Amino acid sequence: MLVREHGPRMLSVARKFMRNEAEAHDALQDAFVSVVKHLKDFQGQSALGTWLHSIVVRASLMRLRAKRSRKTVEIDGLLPQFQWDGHRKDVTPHWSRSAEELAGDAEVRVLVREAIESLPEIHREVLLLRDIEEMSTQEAAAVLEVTEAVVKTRLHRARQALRTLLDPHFSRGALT
Amino acid sequence: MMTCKHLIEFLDDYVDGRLPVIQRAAFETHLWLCRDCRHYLDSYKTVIKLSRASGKDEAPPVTAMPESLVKTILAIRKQHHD
Repeated sequence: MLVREHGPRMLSVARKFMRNEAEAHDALQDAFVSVVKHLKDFQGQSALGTWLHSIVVRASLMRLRAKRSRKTVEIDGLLPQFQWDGHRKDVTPHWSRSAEELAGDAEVRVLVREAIESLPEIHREVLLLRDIEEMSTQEAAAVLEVTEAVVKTRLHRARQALRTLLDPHFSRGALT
Repeated sequence: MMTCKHLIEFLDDYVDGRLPVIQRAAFETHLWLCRDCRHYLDSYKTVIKLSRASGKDEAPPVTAMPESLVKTILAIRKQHHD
């Protein structure tokens, strides 16, 4: 049966996006409403699991868009600034802890997730699809209905903005 | 001569190993000369790892659907067919 066979994997996906069990359940319900509506249109061009995966991803994104209330940051202010000659305006501090050390720290992962959630929607969604859900550029472009070039540009800006948001926590002398 | 601003534009291609050899040489020459860009590149790579790691969290993989959720979904399907 579709729900029992594919449901667990779909729920795992919804959990990654929603980070709250009740909201993940809601997203999964939305996904199955969509499945019921569109199952007759499924032509088998892709594997059933792939099709269901894209449906639960879309349902999770729609839920996130609907529940969004937290104030987001402006992306332009978080991008590196340059002088007229192309050189940096500011000194870039060194991050004292290694990537592996930081990634292994649960508190840091929460901090990173909060920073991602503060990004503008179009940049946050690309990060969620490419980095959290590990989709390819092509897959993310299909879900978001934009070109691959747009996905690449948004991802690049999102990562730069995330770096700026995390910089005060990880640069030399910071406590975290 | 590559500037800090140019380097930022090529960052993802460099990190992904997709930068053509001539541009890569210019990129690495700039890195060699510019401590700020070296720091920026290191922290940018860290951000990519952290962003990916933030999705791999505590919840164990779902092996079975919660029964209450299955019932709700089946009810939705029935409602749709009726």
